[in-house]
Amino acid sequence: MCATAGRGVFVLVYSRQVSHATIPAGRHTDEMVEFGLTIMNLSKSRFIPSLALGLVALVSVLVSACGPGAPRANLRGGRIEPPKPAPDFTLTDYDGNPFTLNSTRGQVVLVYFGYTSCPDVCPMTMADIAGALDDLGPAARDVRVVFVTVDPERDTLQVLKRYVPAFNPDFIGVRGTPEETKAVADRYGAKFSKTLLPNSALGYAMDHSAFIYVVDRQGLLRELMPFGTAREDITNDLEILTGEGGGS
Amino acid sequence: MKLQLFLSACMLTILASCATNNPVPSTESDLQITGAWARIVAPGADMSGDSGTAAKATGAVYMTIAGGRNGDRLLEVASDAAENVEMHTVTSDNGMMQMRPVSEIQVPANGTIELKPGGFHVMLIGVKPNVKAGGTISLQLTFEKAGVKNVMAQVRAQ
Repeated sequence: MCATAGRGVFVLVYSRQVSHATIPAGRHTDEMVEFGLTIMNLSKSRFIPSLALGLVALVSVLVSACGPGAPRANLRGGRIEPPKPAPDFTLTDYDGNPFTLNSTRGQVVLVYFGYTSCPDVCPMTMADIAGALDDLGPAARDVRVVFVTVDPERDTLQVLKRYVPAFNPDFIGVRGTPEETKAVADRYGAKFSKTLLPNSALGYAMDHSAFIYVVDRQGLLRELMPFGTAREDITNDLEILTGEGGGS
Repeated sequence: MKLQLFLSACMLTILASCATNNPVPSTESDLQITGAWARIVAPGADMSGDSGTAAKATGAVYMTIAGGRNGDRLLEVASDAAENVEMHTVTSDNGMMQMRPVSEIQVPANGTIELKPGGFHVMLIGVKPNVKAGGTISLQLTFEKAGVKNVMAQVRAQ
């Protein structure tokens, strides 16, 4: 019963995404259902390599009513059950200092893989996160947002320093070498690839998965929010997660 | 007489080439463009410290276009707000978001096409430093039937 309810929620989340996109609705919904089913049914292996999270336990989208642990119940993103430690990484922040994920322990962290030459998907996501933090009020000080560039070739530290704080001065932008970036993305199951665009002044685009990875105060990966997750849903989940007891 | 024929032929040729190369604005077109806005992250930032390969400032312009009775095709967009102006779309392939240039955008008859986040947009590449948040930018949209339409878009910084 819980699983059925959970599936319903996942589809709902994705159909909200469709409202943002001009892509045929059926396609998205199908993908999401497939994704939801895939992460619940590990025998269907196509998605597993991309989700190489070590997270290979049971990832599900069960709704609340299934667990007695009250607050967790109402998370609206794609929940990860049971939560797994978020893979640690160290990359360089836009001021040139090393940034280590584990140094943020005790806070809720949103990790996003994107690139600054993306004028559409990435700014929309970052703006929605920034808006959610505005809505969250004082609890926003317990949330860190980390933008990991998947295009270190063009996204220099200067570029990140210009781009990332434009959404919120407290957002962190980090980069590594292409190899380091790939290693971090792999551990999260984030995918990206370079596609040459001969008909564009852009030269190339980075195709990329666009989940927001949500890490709780204890350093556990709790949710994958799909592209198009509504600002109010992000706010809702951050309210729940910042309201949980902190730290280690 | 021969000269007259020759001249007539020339005139026809010229007229014909005009008709094919330059869309003639039709006074009957009831195409409408509304709600134009641009998202340009950190517009007006000082980019003088950037290396040659560094990413340029980019932006996206969104709007709603109603095709009127006959529908239309958006063929080209120009603006002095950026070094390059292109039409792009975003699609999702197995969760991978892919942005690609498109050569035209169809505007349906008796319907609208919405350029919006996560779909069709006008992409600005190399946004000029004089573009500021809260200001407006001017774009010239060339349609097959409606000809060139001027559009003003409000600039949002995020």
